[in-house]
Amino acid sequence: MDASIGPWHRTRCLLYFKIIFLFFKVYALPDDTFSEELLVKPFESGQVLFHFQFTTLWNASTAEPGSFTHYRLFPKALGDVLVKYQVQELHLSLTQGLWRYEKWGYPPEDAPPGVELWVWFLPTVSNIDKTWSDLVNALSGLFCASLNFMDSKSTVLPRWSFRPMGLASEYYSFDSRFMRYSALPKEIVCTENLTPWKKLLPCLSRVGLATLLNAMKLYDSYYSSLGIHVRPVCRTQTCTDQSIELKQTLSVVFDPTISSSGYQNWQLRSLFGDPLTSQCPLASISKVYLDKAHLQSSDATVTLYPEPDEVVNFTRGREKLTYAVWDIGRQISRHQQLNLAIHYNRKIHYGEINPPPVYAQRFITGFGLEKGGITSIIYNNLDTNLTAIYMETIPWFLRLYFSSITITNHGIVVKPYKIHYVPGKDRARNYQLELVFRLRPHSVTKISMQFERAFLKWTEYPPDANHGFYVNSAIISTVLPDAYNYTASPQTSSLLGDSTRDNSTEFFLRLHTETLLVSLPTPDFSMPYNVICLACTVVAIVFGSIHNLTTRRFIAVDPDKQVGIIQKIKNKFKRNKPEEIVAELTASESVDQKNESDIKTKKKEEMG
Amino acid sequence: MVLLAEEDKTLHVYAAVGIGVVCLVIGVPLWWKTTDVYRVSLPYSDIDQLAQYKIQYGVDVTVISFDEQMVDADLAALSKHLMDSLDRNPTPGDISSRYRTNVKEKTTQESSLLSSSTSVSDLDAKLNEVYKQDHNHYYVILLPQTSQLKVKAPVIGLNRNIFFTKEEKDIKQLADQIGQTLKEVVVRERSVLKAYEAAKGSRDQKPDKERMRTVRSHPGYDITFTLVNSQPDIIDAQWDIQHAVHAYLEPLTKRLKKYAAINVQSQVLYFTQMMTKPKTDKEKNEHYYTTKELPLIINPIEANLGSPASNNPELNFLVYVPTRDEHPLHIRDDTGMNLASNAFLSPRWGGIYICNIPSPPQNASLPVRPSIDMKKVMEIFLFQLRLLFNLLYQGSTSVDLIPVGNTVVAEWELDGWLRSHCVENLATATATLQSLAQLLGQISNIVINDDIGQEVQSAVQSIKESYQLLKEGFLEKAFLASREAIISSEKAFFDPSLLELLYFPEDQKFAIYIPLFLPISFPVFSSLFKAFKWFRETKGLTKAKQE
Repeated sequence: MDASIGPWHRTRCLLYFKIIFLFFKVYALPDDTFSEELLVKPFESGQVLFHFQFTTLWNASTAEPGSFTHYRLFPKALGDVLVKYQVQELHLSLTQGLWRYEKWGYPPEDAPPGVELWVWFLPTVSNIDKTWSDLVNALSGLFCASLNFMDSKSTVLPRWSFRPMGLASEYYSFDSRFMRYSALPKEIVCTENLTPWKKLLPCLSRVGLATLLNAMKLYDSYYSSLGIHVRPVCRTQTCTDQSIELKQTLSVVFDPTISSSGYQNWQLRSLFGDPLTSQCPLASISKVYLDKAHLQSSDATVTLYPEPDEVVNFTRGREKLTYAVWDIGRQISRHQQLNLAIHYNRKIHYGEINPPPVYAQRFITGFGLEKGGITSIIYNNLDTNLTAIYMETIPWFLRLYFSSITITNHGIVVKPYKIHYVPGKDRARNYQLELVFRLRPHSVTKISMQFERAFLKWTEYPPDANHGFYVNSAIISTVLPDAYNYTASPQTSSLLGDSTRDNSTEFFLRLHTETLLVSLPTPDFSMPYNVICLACTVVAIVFGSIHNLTTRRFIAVDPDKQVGIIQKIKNKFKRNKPEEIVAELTASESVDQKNESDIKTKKKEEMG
Repeated sequence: MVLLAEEDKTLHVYAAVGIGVVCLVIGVPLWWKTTDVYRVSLPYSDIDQLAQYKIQYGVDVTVISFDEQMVDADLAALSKHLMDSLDRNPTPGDISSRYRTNVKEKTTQESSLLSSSTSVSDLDAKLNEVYKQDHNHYYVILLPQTSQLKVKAPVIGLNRNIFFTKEEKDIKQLADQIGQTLKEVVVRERSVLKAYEAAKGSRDQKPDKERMRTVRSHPGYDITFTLVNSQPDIIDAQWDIQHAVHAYLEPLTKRLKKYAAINVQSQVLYFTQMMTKPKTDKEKNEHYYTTKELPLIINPIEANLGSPASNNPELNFLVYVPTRDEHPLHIRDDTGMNLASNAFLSPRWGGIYICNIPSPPQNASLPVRPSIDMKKVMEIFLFQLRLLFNLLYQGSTSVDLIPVGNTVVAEWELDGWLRSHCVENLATATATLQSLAQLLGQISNIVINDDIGQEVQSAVQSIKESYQLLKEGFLEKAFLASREAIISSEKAFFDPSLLELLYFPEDQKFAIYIPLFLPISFPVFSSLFKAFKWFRETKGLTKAKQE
């Protein structure tokens, strides 16, 4: 359902995909390396982001299954799965809470609430649907999450929104047949997902940065997101061989102002329960970075403990940034521990926060249980045009009207460059919509669509059906010309620390909007049995009366001799008095043979 | 008027009978048919029959006498005694062996082989070349006393040759010795019986080491070698596992490739420790675990081993490098002696080897990266693997085995493996089919798809085929057929479609239908009852009239 568009349009909207296939930096690697990093970013709103990233690089490739035989730093449990299901790239995120773009800017790894999984399979896979279903079952066992619900009903093949993040040929990366995307917005993420995630680390959670990952503290936070990202990367500059990169990320947002009575002060011990006392000996890099962007803008005096080993000033895009860097190994050999702390001399002032260049909101419109709508509002605060891809996956029971999809910018209708629309099928397929359109400078673009709510079969309702049904986040992908509020590591490198050496001019951004909760017309669940009983009763009454009509005689009763009910009952007791004639219209079952024969004899007598 | 009423009555009675007939003859079967679930008919009687079958396996034995002193009469006597000896003491139960023996004198070609051979193993290889020895056909070679190759105790070669020397014993004694060696060591009748009983799951089994240790038969195995570096910040031991697997394990995996897919992988675990603290012997300044403590060691380590992505049974072999506090760590047996191997085996799970690496000196830059002697490690693990696969003969009969060395498995051992696995597969597949048939018989609303029907059919077919082949002595083909049988039967048994309608029990079905059936059947039956009563009355009346 591609809208036909002019050639220059097409060039333009494909232009930024090119940045995805950038060249990779040189690494003179041993067979495998591991590094642990932590990025800390205090926000103006008082919260603090801690983003842990554990990166394993290994000279192996899923395209050559033989190379995944003798594991050292790479986890065997995950490697087996990747090889068995011939995965080229895998991105899994398990998130509790919603990332607030307006207040916090962009996260290092973007993730929607719940679970999101997208996978690129090797072109050698013959039956991708079957492989996908086996893979999600294997992963669901590995991470103790209900990934097995990612069946064909909730899986889609996005055409433009998800491109390979790692090494891929151009031909392959434009063929969305090899990729699958699915999300479970309802999934609750907790300790049982964290524990298997920690087991994949070579140092487990015994030493190094992972000792801070205490489930009691992590899930007592504003936002917490686990991620597993596997992609092939170049081994050397010439890129003759592939390596595999496994990035395990964990983002957590705390609000220290609550426990420090209005001050934004914190230390590792108060937030994570313990200071850092060891370094993973297998890691080639163990560093903590602190983004000082919002420290300098405030008028308070901020003190960092201990003194950073290094303060790096760098420019990313047009944005001037400062990172304070601690080398964990050096800190521990000097102080036996690293209890990173920030001290402010005054309470936090809640003021207006500069939102990031592009962000979005999404909500349900309409009332009643018959029809409804979804509206997304995308803000562009930049002074340039941006091309954005908007992706929406809507469950089949919200029947989307294609004609109702409108994009407006301050009341002016925006014509999308491209539309990819896959209509849903009842009980088989989701509605899938991808729109490519322009975001005008300093404007608000509104996308709205209408749907009709379907009736489900009574077995299709989940437990607690009145809670409502979740709709996946919409995904907005675009390329920013500037790195304002941008924290993700450069796409061409594996490490967080490489952000300081990033000289790219374009920054790929993927946003996830809010998930939606929609209520469907929900029946009273005892109803089916009531309906069965009612319908059966009606059938039984009809049958009973017809049956009676055909198998019984009806006799006219003399109205003069009709007797009242009381008399009838009396007669029953005086049955042996023959002179009293009782005639009955026998419609009921209770009439017995004796009565009938009584009538017969009476009649005969009369006639005689 | 009376007549009219009578006619009316007759009409009504017939109407009642008509409705009753329609309800019973058309309604009930129609309802039954429309609410019935799809069930392919399975060969239930065949499955029942399979359970009654008695497994019989054939073995071919050829005795070649190089002994000039044995005359034809001696050979005839030997043949007779050997047959007696082999048929004596049959193993109890549903399983029996059938030997076909052939005793003959050497040919000139054979005697030249003997004279050109320098050792028994040389002769063994040459005989194998000449006869192109196939599975399940054993050659008993009677070496003359005069030959320089003469053996004291029976010797079993790497192929399928067993060497004897007739000393001053009489023929009967020799025959007994040959028979016993064949039954106990080469064919391992007792092992086959154990495999069968274990697979059949008979209740009244005594605990038996061999049966409990041996890994169950499966079309594939995952072998994982794990190096546990408990303190990589002090000792980060390295191993060249890739080379070791290639050198030591590949001969075995290649040899078994046709019969079982063996997938070998390795990993390194760091910071994984034994949860139970070892005891300390202050005198010798060493630490030790007693044999009683060993079972407690495995569980905490196993939690970190990770689960494989396949359904194959997994065998784990661990090299544990102790922490500095635990060093040196030993395993002590009940007598308080340190085990020379410093390794132990966990039945059906794998083995653990504790590799003591000397602590680095005080001034060394940490971590030190010593490499582990893979020859020792693989020797231990291969021995354990042979035990787990039940390739190793451990019995009381005194025989000399030519060491297997690098080939890891001797041909006659492989035959034994095939034989017990074939029998085990047959027993398992039969038991699986039986329980499937029983399950489907018990729960009548399980849907049985065509696929399941087909799998069951092919399993039954393969089992029958395998029985026949085994009886005739075609061991390899019988094994392959039995493997087919087990794959098909498991596929049928674990088919997810069997579970689909399981949660709709019979009583609920009737709860749904009763609101319809009760009000309809009541008038139908009562009017039918009345109709029959009327028929009887009229019959009585007409009879009375006639009289």
